[in-house]
Amino acid sequence: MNEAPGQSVAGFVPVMEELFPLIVYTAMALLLVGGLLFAAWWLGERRRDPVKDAAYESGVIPSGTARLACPVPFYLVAIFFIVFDVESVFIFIWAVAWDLLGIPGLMHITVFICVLLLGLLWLWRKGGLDWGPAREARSEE
Amino acid sequence: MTLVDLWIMMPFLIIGAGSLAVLIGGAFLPGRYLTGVGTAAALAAAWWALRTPPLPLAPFLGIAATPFARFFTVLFCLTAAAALLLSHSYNRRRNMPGEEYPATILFAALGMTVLAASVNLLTLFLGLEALTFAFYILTAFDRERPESSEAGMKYLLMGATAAAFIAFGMALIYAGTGTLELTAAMRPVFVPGGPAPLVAAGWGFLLVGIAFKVSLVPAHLWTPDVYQGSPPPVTAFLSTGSKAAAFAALLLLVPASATGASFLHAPLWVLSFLSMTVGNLAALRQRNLKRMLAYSSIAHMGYVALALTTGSVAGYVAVVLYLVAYTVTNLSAFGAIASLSGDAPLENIDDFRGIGRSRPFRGGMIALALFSLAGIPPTVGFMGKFAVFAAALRGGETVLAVIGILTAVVSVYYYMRVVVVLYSSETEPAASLPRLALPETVALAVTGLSILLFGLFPNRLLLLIEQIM
Repeated sequence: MNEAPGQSVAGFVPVMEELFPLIVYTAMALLLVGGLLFAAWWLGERRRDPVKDAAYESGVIPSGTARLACPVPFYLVAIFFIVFDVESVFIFIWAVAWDLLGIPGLMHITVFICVLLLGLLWLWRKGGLDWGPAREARSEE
Repeated sequence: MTLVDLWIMMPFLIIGAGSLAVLIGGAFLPGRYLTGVGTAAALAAAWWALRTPPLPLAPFLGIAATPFARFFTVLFCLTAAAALLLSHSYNRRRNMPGEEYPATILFAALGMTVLAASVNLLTLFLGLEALTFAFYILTAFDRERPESSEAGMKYLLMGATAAAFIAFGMALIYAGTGTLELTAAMRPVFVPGGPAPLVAAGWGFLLVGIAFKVSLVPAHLWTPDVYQGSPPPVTAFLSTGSKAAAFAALLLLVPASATGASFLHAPLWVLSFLSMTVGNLAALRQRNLKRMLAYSSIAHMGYVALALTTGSVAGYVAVVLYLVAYTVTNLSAFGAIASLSGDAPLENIDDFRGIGRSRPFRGGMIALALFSLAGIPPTVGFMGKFAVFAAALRGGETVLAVIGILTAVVSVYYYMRVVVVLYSSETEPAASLPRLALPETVALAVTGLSILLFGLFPNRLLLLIEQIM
C-alpha cells in the first residue's frame, strides 16, 4: 500500500508465485463446470415431448411414485455405519504410528474407543439396533 | 502427557464426562434428574476453572489454561447451566423428554470451552465445529414443530458452508505461514504493510466464515428464521454462547495491539457498519418478538465488531464486556419467553399484551432485558455500549461510533414499543400461560440480578477483563 515504487514491483513477483496455484485451481474449477454446462446446453437436443420429460430410469419406463416408504432401520444402520467407519479410520491412523505416539497416544485412542463404545451402548439400549417393531411398541402389546 | 496436562484438561473432562454420564444414565434410568446432573457438571467445570492457577500450556493437546481461557470457560459453563435450567420445564411442556438434550447442551459447552483454550488453529476449528454440531441438533430438537426442523435445516446448510470457509481459510493461512500454532501463525500476519496475499486470502475466507457464525451482515440471513424456529431455551443458548465463542475465536486470532488489525480494518469496518444499520432498521418492522430479537442480535454483533475494529486493548476489553452483557441479557429475554411458552408458542409482540401486569416476574424480566438491550442505565447493556463507544471514539473510529450511537437511538424505539405492550392495561385471559417453575425462577433471578449488578458496579468485571487480555 504505502511502499516505495521499487518495492511494490519486487513484491509483485512472489504475489503471483504464491497465488498462481490458486488461480489455476479456480480457473480449472470454473472451466470444468462451465465447460460441462455449456457442452450440455450446446450439444443437447432441445425438443420437448412426454418421453423426454419423463424421469430417467436407465431405459425402464418409470412407474409409481418416487416417494416410497422405506423401513427406517435401513437409514439407522447406514448412519451407525458411518460413525463406526470413521472410528476405524482414526484407529488405523493411530495403529500406523503407535510406537511413535507411545503411552499418551494409547491413552488418547483408549478414551476415543471408550466414548464410542458408550455410544454403541446407548443406541443399543435405546432400541436403535432393533429390526422390527420398536421396544415401546412391543411392550405395549 | 503429564499431571499438568490432566490438570489443564480437567474442566473439559468434567463437561465431557458429564455429557456421557447424562447420556448413559438416561438410557438406563430415564428421569427428570438429568437436568440436575448436567447443571452440576457445568457448574463443577466452572468452579474448577475458577480454582485452577493459570497453567500455560498442554503441548500434547493444543490447549492452554490462560486467564483468557479460564474466563471464557467460566462464562460458557454458566451459560450452559442457565440454558439447562431454563429448558427444564419447557421441554416437559413441549413433550421433549430424554437425555439427549442436556447431553447435547453440555457437548456444545465443551466445544466452546475448548475453543477458548485453544492454542493452535486445529483445536480452534475442532472447538468451533463441536459447538456448531451440537447446535445443529439443538435447533431441530422440537421435531413435532415444522418450524424447528426448518430452522435446523437452514442452520445446518449455512453452518456447513461457513465451516468450509473457515477450514479453507485456515488451510491458506497454514500454507502461507507454515505453522498451525496460533501465536506463530498470527505473528507474521500483522506486520506493517500487510501479510502475504495467500495469508490475506485465507483471512478473507476466515472472516466470511466467522461473519456467518456471529451473523454479521451480509452473512446474517439465517438468523431470524433460526431464532424464530428453534425452541426458545435453545435460542437463548445459541444467541449467547455461540456468538461469544465465535468472537472469542476472533480475539484469539487477532492479537491486541494498536496497529494490529490494520489490514482487517476495512472489512471489519464494513461488516460493523452494515450490521448496525441493517440489523436495527430491519428490527423496526418486526411483529414477532423472536425475529425482532434476532435482528437486534445482528445489530449487537455489529457493535461488538465496532469495538474489535479499533484494534486497541480498550476495544478488546469492550468486546469481552459487551459479550458478557449480551449473554446475561439475552438469557433473561429468551428465558422469560421460554417460560411463558406452553403448547402454543408465544411469539407475536401482541401476544405479550398485559403480561407485565398478569405475570409480573417474567414480564419484568423481559422488560429489564429490553432496557438492557436498548442500553438504558442502570443496566449492564448501558455499560457495554458505553465501553464500546468510548473505545471507538478513543481509537479514532469517530464516523462508525456516531453511526452506532444513532442506530442505538433508533433501536430504543422498537425495544420500548414491546415494553409498552407488556404493560398496557388490556389484559388477555391469560389462563393458558404456564406456571413459573423453580429452575426457571433461579436462572432468571440470577441473570436478572447480573444485569443490574454489572450495570451498577461494573468495576470488578472491568478489572477482571483487563487482567485476562
